[in-house]
Amino acid sequence: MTPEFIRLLFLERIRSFSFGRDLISSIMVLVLIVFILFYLIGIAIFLGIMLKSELGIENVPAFLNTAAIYYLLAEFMVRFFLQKTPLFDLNRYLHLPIKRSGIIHFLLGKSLISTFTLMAFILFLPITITEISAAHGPLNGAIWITTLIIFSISLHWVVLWVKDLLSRKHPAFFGLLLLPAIPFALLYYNLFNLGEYTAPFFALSLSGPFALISAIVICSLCYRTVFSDYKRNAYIDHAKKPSSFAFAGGGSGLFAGFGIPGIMAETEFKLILRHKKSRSYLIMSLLFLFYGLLLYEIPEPGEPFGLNGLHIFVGIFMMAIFFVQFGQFFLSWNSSFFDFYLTRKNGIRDMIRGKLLLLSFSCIAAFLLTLPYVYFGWQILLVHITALLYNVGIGIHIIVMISLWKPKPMDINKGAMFNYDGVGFAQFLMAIPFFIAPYLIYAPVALFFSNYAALAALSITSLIGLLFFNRLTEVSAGIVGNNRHKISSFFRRGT
Amino acid sequence: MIHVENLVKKYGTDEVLNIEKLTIERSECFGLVGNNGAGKTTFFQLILDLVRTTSGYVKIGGEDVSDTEEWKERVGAYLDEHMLLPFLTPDEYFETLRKIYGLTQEELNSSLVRFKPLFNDEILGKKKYIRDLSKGNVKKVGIASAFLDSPAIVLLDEPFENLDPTSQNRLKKLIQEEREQKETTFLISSHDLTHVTDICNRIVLLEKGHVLKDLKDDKDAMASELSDYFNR
Repeated sequence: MTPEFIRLLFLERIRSFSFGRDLISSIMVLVLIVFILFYLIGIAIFLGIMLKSELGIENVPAFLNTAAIYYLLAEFMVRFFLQKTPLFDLNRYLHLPIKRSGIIHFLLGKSLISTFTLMAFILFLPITITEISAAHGPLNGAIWITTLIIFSISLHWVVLWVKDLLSRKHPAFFGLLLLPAIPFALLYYNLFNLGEYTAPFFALSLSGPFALISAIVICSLCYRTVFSDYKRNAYIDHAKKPSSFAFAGGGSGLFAGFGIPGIMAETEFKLILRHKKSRSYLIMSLLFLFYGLLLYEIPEPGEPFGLNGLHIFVGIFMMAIFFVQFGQFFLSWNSSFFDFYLTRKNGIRDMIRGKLLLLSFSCIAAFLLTLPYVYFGWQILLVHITALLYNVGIGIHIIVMISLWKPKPMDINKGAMFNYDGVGFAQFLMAIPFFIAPYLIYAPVALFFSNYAALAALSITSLIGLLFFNRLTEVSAGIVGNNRHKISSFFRRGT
Repeated sequence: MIHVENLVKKYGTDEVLNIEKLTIERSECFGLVGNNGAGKTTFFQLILDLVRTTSGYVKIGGEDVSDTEEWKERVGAYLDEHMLLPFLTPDEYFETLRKIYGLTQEELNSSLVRFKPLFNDEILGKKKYIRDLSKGNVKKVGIASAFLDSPAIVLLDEPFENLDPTSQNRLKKLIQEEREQKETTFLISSHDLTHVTDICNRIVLLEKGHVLKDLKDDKDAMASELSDYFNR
């Protein structure tokens, strides 16, 4: 069955309505992957030299044994944020005489085709050859790196399992993800070194197959866990729990006074609250509000605030993360009831104005929520005001214009199981023009004058954009209006 | 053939189906009627193990459907268009099913030849993906795939919906022939009372998930009982 599944997946991909758009984002992802691979290879080649000369480590194998656990914890966190969950439309196959377990095995097996599977191998192969094999012999070197790779694959299963659990549990459980960071914090403050306790295990892999065997056992247990979890949930009623009623009445009154676009914005807000996919975007955007904590710095006493080009990016990012994600699928959210707007007088125009109103509101809300960053210096306020102006004045239209290129139908009512449709790294890449555009103004002005002048220039340009807000909205509405037959026939045909 | 006992399905606290006991015999044509929300589709989904039971079980030929999967080889079903692969042409779809069921080309052809009148030259040999077909034609593809490999049991949810009157009559004829020649068991849900009373020898009326009436054999009595219920 496996070759048949592969053939079908391939056909589905090339016959997708949004093939062109998918292809471009896939190419961009591929370029990024190649870039990352080169980067990894670079690190890998110089890892041994760096450890010896920079950190002054003499016994590299012993150091690696201690560091292995930290590597795995870090890999877990990276995997969690970047690794995609496999996608499969169960509905189409469950009634056929194909084993449910066969479908799940295929699905899980397919998910292994990923850069992450190679990561441990690439990163540690050179150092295994130059250091470990040199000290302990090639056989033990091979066992050592295989053990590490098998742990890395165990992480692959654990991440799939955890993601699936989280998709059904309260989003607050995302907080648990901070757990792997604790050993790093303890190490940083010299309180406790977890590596010392796990080092003997990895050292064991240098003197026989025991560690490797236990890694294989752990890996198969992880696989069993994720397999039985997926199999247990491979039913089509997975999402029918009436939990969404908890959000009845959400958003009422917030947009009163904006006329019909206000009503549209309000329905849109209800849509966001009542669908798992949009809700998870909202929660993720809230988490990203903490992004500034990582990059903003409090100036040393007596030192002036060091405004630089990164600040404006952080500001724009924090305020825009929701509408970049939500706006990517601008019309797709409404694909299943697009005719509702078509059959109403001025329906398309009102819908687009409503959406823009909502997106602008999301920026203003993010602006208010990020006001406490003023703690890092009042200059942050200038940055955030500029960011807000850019987002609402210019950025919003960039995102909308990109999203209007071949909008993709999307089934937002589908359950969360196996439905990570469109959620991924590719979406971030589609937003690159949005993040680059401000620098077209900012960078030259900052180069020839100053960072503050650059902020002012960006603000002024954005204000001009803001003056033309209605005009630009009409342009978007015009694009949709002119392509309404094409778009609606796409949408009517479904995903 | 199919045996159901204490079958309960709840979504949260809402009970959508509760059938104490029901047995469907071989070569029976079992019609399922009821108003919207009576639980017809849920019942079919439970029989096919597409959704989990809250309690109770469905057994096909003595096998609990949630325990084994062998029964899938003897059951053909078409509930809705989500069961199809929309990105394939009908020919490609049948070819895919042929591989899954392990049929020869001749077996596939002889299975599809029965559908020639129903297809009306609009399905096979056309360069059109299933997603681009009209609703009626999509339904025809689905029904034909449920009949593939001559299963012992065929489940069809609203098979007459979206079909033109000619196709409806051709489908009825097809179902009757299949029952006579191969003793196939049919489970058919429909809102069209005339069609179900025409072809079914047994009709179960569901209301709010419960079996309200279980009518057998006497077609006139069936018709009048149903007409009484639906004309309240």
